[in-house]
Amino acid sequence: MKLARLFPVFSASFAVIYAPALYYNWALVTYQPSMNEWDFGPVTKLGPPMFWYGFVATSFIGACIVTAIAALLPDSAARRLWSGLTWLLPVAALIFIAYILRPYFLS
Amino acid sequence: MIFWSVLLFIHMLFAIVLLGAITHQAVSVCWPNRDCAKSFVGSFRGVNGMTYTNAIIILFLCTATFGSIIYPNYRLNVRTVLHEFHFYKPEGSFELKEHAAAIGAALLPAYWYFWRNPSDGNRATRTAVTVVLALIVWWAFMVGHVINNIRGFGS
Repeated sequence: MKLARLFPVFSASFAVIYAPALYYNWALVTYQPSMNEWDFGPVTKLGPPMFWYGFVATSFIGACIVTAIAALLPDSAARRLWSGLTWLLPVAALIFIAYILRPYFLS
Repeated sequence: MIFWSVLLFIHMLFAIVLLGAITHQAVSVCWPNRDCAKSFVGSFRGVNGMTYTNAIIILFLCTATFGSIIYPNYRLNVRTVLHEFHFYKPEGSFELKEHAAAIGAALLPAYWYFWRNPSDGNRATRTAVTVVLALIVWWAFMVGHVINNIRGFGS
């Protein structure tokens, strides 16, 4: 299987991992902007913590693992997957994230 | 402070060019100019979407990179103010923007793949991926503009 054919798998799986990473706070790293420090895992210290970089790192590594697993599948199995999942899963993830963030819009 | 304002300004300039490019491509793929109409709208729709792909990817990555560099400054000096003044909707909108930008950046490999091999078979997916990316860019731009008006350039 050509590497490029795995790109849609990476894109879809990144979004699928990102939404629960945000919900359960699976941040791989935390940046403390007030102290200019990086910590492993979700850590709250003095000042506001930034988990976003950690969510991106977690989702990137997770998506790479899923893509590597998908590379082991035979081409025939990959062809059976509907290509529409490439956009449908990110849209579903964004809707879920908007739902998580609803207190901001309801308060 | 001038340093951060300059970075914010560069971030905005990249975002403006990206917005124009992705809008052109999204409109051309959703509503192609088949009858070669020479009107302004026809010309807007009549661009060759394929030629925009690499430029859009580079612009998206440049915009996101500058955004992620100035993000800690936003977290310390802007978001705290939004929270203090109970501007929850702009704050939440920006939260959604940052997550949408991350998912949009991850969508770029698939976007590149479907535009590299355009065919009738993947036309629907290519169109949908482009429209999703365009909506993310529009949302990010609008929210960024509002936040900038509240407490941005020069403040």
